[in-house]
Amino acid sequence: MIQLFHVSKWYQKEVPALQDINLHIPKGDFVFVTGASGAGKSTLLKLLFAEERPTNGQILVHGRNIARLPFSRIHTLRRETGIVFQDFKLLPNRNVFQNVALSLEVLSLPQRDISRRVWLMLQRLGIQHKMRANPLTLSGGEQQRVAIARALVNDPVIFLADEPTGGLDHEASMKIMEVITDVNARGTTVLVATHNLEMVRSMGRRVIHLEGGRIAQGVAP
Amino acid sequence: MSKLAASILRALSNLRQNWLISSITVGIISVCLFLVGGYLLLTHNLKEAVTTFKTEVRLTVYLRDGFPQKDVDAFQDRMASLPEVHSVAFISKDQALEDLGAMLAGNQNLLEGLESNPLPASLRIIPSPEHRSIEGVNSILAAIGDDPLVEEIVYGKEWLDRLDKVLAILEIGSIALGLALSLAAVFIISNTIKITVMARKDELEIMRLVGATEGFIRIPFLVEGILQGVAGAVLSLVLLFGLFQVLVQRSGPALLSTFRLDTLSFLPHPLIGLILLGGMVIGGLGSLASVGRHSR
Repeated sequence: MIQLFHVSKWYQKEVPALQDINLHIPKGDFVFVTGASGAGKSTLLKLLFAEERPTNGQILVHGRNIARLPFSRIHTLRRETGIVFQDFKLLPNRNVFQNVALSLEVLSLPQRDISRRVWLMLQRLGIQHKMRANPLTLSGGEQQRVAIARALVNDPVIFLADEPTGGLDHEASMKIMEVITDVNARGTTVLVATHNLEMVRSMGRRVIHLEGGRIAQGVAP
Repeated sequence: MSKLAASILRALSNLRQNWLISSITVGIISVCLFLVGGYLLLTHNLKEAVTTFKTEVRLTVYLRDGFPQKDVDAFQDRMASLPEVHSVAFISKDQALEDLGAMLAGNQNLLEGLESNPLPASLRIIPSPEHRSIEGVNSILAAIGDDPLVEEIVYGKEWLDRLDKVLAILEIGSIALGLALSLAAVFIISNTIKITVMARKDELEIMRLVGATEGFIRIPFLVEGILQGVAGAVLSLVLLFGLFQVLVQRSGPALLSTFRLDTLSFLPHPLIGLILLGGMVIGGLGSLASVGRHSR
């Protein structure tokens, strides 16, 4: 469960990135966060994985107040959170398998377990045949699948995606959304920030629309 | 496998993956430490040379004629018992004349016709090594005092003054220049490491995003930094030793006679250890500090 109470974020004194956000997202929900560029979508997601700290307000993720989470404990939150970005953030000096394995290496798991889980995850996303490939040689859709595999391989309870279909064509976008829907069907809470309204409408899910850092419509209290 | 062993394995794997940038870092560290090592080698041999010069510090105490030998022996014993004195040698009048004859080899006719031996007997006093300075000589002079036996004392005052000044300049200069050179090396090495870490900032960011602890991220970087530092230090010492050997073979005799040394010596073990330790510490800390800068 994710709860935000009167959360504001100011990067500069004059312009708030987010203002007085109150949210309640139950466990297992699927939520789109929409809004124009600069509306605060990315900032909202960044607050949820403690990349940024709120200027005001409290954020509870599974009962833990992450607004006050010390720097030394951030990794515990990140290990429960799968994160995907529009620019994939894959390492070019590691192959597909090694990129995905990174999420399990940080848990210091035995190599045999890492190999088995990475293989299963690549298989689930249909990219197992690319496991030795350099990510830069893959198509945009394939690279995003690798990024999703890396985000999911450690079984996170929350999945955050910031413009996961940005830059992808319609077909590739729909395939990525199918994968994310499947993730949600397995019980993971999903938040997807996007400005692809057509896709949002076609999915028929809950929408949080941001305008100038405030929630504008379609919000469950 | 322990966490440390796993970190070392990851560090080695990272070095292999980033072999080009790692090699450049090792190269830059080795050049910097080569310059510092070369400087240490130079000052080490200069100090050896100065020590050789200092063995020539001595006092010649000329004695008045006519005193019984037992008084001279007592005076010699008193001098030899001083803590500032390393050795005392008595040179009789006859010995002095013989020595002069040897010095005038080929022109001994100059001494013919002497009715009596005009040369005085003397004591040659060599100060102990730690008192081969103007202060040491002065304290020996004070101990001699106004002894009636003594006619004149010769000890090359001006030469000794100059040697002391040269030594002081060398000491201060070597520390100042050594510090400046070391600081420059630290600056260059830490900046090189900073650039290599910056080149991997995406990796740092992603590792943090997938939940790596700071220890998980930093320990391999620390190990990499230490390995690069030690490798650079070893390479610099090998280069320095090679250059030293070439120099000794090509111009060793000329250098030896210039500095009045018995032999040119390579860096002593403590200085070799210092360079290795320096490489290790600069590499490790530089790496750790650079990773820290990318912490959120």
